[in-house]
Amino acid sequence: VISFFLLALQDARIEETFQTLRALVEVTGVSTREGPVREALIGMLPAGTPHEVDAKGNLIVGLGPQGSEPVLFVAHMDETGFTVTEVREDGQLATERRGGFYLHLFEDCGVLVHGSKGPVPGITRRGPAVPEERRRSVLVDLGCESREAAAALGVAVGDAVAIPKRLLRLSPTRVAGRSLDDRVGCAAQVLALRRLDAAKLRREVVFAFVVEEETGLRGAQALAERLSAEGRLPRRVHAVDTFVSADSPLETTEIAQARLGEGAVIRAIDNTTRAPQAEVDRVLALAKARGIPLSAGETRGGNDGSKFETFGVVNVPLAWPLRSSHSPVETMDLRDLVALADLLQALAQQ
Amino acid sequence: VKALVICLLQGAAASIDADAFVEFASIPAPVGREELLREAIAASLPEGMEPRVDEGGNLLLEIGPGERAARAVLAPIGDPALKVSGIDPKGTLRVRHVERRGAFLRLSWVEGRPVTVLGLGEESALDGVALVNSIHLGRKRPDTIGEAWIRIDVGAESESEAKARDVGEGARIVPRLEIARLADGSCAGWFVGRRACALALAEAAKGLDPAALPARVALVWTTEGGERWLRARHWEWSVPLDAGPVSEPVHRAPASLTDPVHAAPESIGAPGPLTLRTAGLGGPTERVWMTDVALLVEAVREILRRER
Repeated sequence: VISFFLLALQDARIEETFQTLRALVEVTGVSTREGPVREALIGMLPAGTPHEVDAKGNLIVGLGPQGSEPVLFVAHMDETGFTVTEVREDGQLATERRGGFYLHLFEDCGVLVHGSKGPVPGITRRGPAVPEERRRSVLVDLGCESREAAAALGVAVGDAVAIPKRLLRLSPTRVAGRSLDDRVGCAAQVLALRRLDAAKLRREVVFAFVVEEETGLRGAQALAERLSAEGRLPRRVHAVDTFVSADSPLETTEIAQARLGEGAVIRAIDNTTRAPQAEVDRVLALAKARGIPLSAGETRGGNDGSKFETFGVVNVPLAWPLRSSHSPVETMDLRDLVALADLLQALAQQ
Repeated sequence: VKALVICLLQGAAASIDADAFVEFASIPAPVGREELLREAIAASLPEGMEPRVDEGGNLLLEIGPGERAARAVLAPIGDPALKVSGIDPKGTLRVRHVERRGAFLRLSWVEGRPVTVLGLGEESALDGVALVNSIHLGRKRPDTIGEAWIRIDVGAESESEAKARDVGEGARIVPRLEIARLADGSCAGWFVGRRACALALAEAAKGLDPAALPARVALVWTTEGGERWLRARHWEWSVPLDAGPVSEPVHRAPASLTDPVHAAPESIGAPGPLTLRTAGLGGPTERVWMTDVALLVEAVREILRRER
């Protein structure tokens, strides 16, 4: 009876995790155009949770007694994609790439242009027959023959362009879709928030959902500068972001060893951060004591926490393994998200 | 004359419900596993029109007076596809092309995109994804994407788990069919040209009064390789529908040119193949216009109503 009860409980958590992630993945937030994700996140916060949106567009949620050696968690709201740079006379849209990705994965496919009158379907044109590294972006065809016709659909310069997004459930725990980087991080913070009792916290805990990570960690930079100017820098920061994993037959096995489904990962070394070993060990010990599956590893990419390091803040990035990063089919395991949310909760409650 | 015919057809054109087309074009129908599409076509036909499936998987509908159909219009079903060639110990699927005479599924178009896997069981359709290497880890990619590079993840963590989900050698894989409706009344997506021809044939049937036809006619949705089962049918003539990069909405080629099933020259009054204007045939996202599909419907009806 007990094992049946525990299994049912586990299934319920996986289901809650899936629903939370799906709601975040199926909105679009191309870097610099994160508004829809921010709105979705605000709608998911437990009733009465204090929050603010700063001048840069970052969403900040603070809990617990203020000024008491705060701990900061940072996930990013933005995703890679395109923005419209020109509505051409022939009705086609010129675009600019936002973030780094293989362009060919987004050529000759359906997209949505997020205009003022709602999403408008289009298709991206294949680029010229030159090597991919020399192609800059895509043209979008809405089926309009003039600039005026495109404008009548509510499309304008600056609009976000992204593929239609759906979170595919490949198995009870494995999911795939665009923008798991970093909606999984956002979901982990929301799931942890739901389980925290603010009245019982012994220190200030701040969950930041920042903008423009994919285009240069600019949301985190702005937040770090502001907190520094206000004398409110945390002692520790945890970027909550992807661990790009080599758990795929298409990758080499030299680095990024973290299997999908085997828990959360400390991103101990990446392109911007080398987390202090003592801090890594401290987090590993906490996870072990709480029965949370966690490992540490080295991968590639930068993280938002690195922008706080220059202000003397200790950064221990927390992550989950992700396959096929920055593609239409980013893939992860929901059990790893559960572990990550549990880890954030445990760190917040310390 | 051609312009006049098109003008007349436009005046009489049936309208095509784009929502219905999107639904129809989203049905996976890889070569050898066309049953879902066959069922959808059969279900769309009016009461009293009962098609049957022959040994080659073709769907045949015969209507009109007489015992034997004298003429036929054919539309292709069965999309270019991959098949499972093996399963890795960690559960990812290896692939090979399904042998096919016609269009080819370029593997670089499949990489990094969602797919549908039709398992070995009749009812099983699974979501999957074709893996792509992570841009961050910087593994050098092959210059040409071949079968050895493509791996499909259906969420299985082992070979036995994949098999338990009805996936095994021969299971079919097609790109996930997601159709975009554009502002000019066109629809875009994988294989929409061929799908539009199949829909046009079903729509044509709906507008025909069997009792008013001058002869018994066959409407046939043909599978890849299924044509050989049709050769013995001895039609006076048959007209294939297909999608192509033509400039007119519906292009009528001379009858003497080709008819893969039952060649018949114009001299006996056989109409030529009909080609539906389709853009983007060089890439994965084809595009067809619903007004053109309506013209094709009318063209098919006109052919089948023709006096002998």
